[in-house]
Amino acid sequence: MTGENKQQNSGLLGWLLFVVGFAGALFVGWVVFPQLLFSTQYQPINYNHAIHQEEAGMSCEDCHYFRDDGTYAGKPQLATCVECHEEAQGETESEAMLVSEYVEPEKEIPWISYSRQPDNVFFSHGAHVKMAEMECTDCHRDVEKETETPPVKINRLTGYPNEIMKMYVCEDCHAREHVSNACDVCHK
Amino acid sequence: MKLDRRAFVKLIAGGVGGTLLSPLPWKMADDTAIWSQNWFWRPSPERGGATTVNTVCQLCSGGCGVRVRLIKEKRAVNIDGNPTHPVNQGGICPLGAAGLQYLYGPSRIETPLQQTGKRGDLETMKAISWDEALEILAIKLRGMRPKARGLVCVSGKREGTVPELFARFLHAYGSPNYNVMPAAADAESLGLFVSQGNSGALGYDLENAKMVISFGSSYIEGWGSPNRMMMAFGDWRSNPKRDRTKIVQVETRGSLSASKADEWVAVAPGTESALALGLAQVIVSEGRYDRTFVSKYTHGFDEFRRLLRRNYTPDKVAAITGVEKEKIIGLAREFAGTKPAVALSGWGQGRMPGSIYDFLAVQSLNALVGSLHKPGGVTRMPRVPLAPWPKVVLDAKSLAGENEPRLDGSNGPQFPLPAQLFHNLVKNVNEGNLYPAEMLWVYEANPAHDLADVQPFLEALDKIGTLVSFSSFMDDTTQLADLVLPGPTYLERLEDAPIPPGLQYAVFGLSQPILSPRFETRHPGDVLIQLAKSLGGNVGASFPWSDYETALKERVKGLADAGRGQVADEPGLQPWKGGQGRQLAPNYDSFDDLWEKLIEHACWFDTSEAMPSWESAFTTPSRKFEFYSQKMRQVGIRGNDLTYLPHFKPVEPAGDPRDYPLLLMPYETMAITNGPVANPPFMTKTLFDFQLKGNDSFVEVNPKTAADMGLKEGDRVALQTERGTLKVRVHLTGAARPDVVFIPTGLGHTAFDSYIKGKGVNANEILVAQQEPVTGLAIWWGTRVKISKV
Repeated sequence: MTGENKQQNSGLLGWLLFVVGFAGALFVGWVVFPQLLFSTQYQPINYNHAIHQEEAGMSCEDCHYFRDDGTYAGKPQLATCVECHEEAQGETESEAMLVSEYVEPEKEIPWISYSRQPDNVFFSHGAHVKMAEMECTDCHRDVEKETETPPVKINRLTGYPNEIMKMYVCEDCHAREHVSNACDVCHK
Repeated sequence: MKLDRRAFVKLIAGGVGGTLLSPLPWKMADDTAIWSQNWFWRPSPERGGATTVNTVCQLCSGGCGVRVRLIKEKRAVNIDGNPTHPVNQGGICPLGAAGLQYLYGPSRIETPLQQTGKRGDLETMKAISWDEALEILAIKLRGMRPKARGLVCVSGKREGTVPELFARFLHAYGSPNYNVMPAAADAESLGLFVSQGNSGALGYDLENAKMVISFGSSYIEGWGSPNRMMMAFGDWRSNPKRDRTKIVQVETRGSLSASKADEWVAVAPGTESALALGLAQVIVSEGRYDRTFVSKYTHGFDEFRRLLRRNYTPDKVAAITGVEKEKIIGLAREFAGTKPAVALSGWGQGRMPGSIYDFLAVQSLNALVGSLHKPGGVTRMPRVPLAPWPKVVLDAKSLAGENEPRLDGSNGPQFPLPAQLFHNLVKNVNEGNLYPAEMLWVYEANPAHDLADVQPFLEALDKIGTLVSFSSFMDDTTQLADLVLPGPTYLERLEDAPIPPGLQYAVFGLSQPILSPRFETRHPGDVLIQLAKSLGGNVGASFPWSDYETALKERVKGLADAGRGQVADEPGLQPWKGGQGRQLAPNYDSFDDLWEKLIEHACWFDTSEAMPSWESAFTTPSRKFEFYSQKMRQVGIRGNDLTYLPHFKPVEPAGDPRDYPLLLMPYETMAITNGPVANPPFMTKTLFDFQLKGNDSFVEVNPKTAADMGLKEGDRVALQTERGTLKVRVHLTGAARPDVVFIPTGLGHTAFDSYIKGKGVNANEILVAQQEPVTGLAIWWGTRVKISKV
């Protein structure tokens, strides 16, 4: 091998390594990193949104309602479940757990939130749903046909779920709709 | 093939390029920023539905209705004013708004504690059970019964069923030594007793007054019921439907009350009552007084007139007070010419008893212009028709106790008037007079910090056998206690709230537990009932109730039986409109209904007790208002004519002016609480950095005085009085006269929590409390002081 060839080979190897490094980093960044960053957590029991709508004929507002004072109740309390599930309503494992683990000992179900905003954010469902007349699905996933509650991906570093809305999303929409983006609109 | 340096650099470069095109660095940067805000100690609010509960604030005697917002009915998140409560009408003061910082603050006591080592050592304070604590106390009390008179109690609350239960316990046990912390109400009660015949308190019809002269009362800085005063002030100032009320503030310091008044009359220190007598002299000599009242319903006017002519002519008063003669005459004419006009007495927020003569001088002014028991004037506080409890069951020991002299010397040969003289009690204990104090109970009071001239009290503690504290907080006194029986805070317990000081109509407030007690605390009322039962005998028989709630209900039944008053259940109630003596149709139909509504709205009020007529108002020997007090002579006060007449004879401030060239005067502000609780963090944040900077307190000095002494803003100085030395910093202000320096009270705690402990200095440590010779009341408006740079 001449010195020139050596140099050529080395150059080729160099570029190959560059591609390996580049592709490897992309793989780590796009595939491995998210796996590491988020933990997967499962809801305490499965909740079947579809069956409540279709068979029980319930509407979203039966559980996710506005309180009399205009605040939004979010996830229902056990008392709402007990209205129908004083006793088991079917034979699924979740149903049995609901009654034995929560209804009978009168313990609130520790649902994991998919989109709970941080404490330093003042978010009013009333302002968005009642006043701006937005649809739930403008921000949340459509659960109408959902028979299984999906696992919640929780960011190990921040403790927030991955579905949570980031500030730029809020800002974009506020800008589009000509709503103030002043700090104290959301951060009181 | 060999991986050389160049190839390695390319691998890294590729890696860097790939990483930059992946979300990793950006997401990491963002998440790290979020992570950095999510420390585990960061408080996170409870989420859930909100409810609101009405109750009454008990942080001072103001008696304001408050609403507490709770999340999931268990986490209190906000306190604001209750708009249906007539006293504060929705208003709230900074202390009341910070109430939750007491409920959730770190200085709460969680269980009964017993000191197993040296007093004051928190390390050796041992948590014990309630059974143990009550047993320890019961054994001591059983053993002490032959010396029952040695049980002393000092209450921070003056009125209400819980202080009454303490007084009742002492009475049944056989001790005459129930005391309350000193206050302006002491001089007020005695002053009313000697001039009008019945002790009690005053009710000012301020909302209907056209002119108000305040003789040193901090009328918008905590005097009376603070929110009621704020509301009245707002009405005086900005209600377009009525004439503007003129406010004159007579005070040495350029306080907030002075700056918000129409006129500030800056008198020489301690001479407020001399000015009152000067005004009286002008009113009398110019014949501007209410002739009907003076001729038909007063006694001793001629003696009073002679005294005024001799000693309080405008020239003489100008020399005493430093106020121009023309000003005195003008003010007197205006006061006599404005109807109705009223003069306020009670220095500052009302914590200093003051002199009975100061009280009499100011109230004589009200009498002269016919403002006694008249709309827009001053009357006596109406009574709330609570049912009495059964009489205390007495045995030989309690009967003996009734005949024992009080350890504070009141009602005795030296001080014949029925006063509350806690300072004198301290003095007697220190000097070993009368008999020893075997045990001291402290109920919601903090004498180890709040008592002006605190040093003698701390010395007296060494001579007192056992110190028992009933506090909810680890305060300056409680940390010195041998036994601590912690009560729940006002937000966790049932208790009545009596009429606040200075109110002209009847109010009965009910505090209720808005959530379950957070700790192993027990209601002091229940503790006394349980303790009495465990002692048995006549003491047990004097406490026939199963618990405090039963005892309280028994008294509240009186309201329903009287069939008077209404539960305040709508906003905008203004009971002072339309005058007193108006019957209100009760909006409840039985006791149970009344109780239920009280729990819901927390306040009952009544206007049916009319102001007494001049014929019936006075129960003095002459059945008249006595300028010249026969009552004083009757109870055995010896002296010359002057003794029985309102006059100006100041108690000289302690200290030789040659050694202590300046005068130190304490002052109170709304931003620093002076009650049994220490300043909450919210309020401490509102202090200016010329009031508290880091841990440094400030003394207010006139710029001219400072210049003479070579002092600049912020300089560190030592304040030295006969009693001791405090290190503070200098704040230059024109609010201070050149010969006087001012220091706020309420700071310098040695206890509570890291938010307040060690912040600033406690002025009470270097103030010297003196005694008024006739009444024995303590006076500490000024102490001579020396300032030196350090």
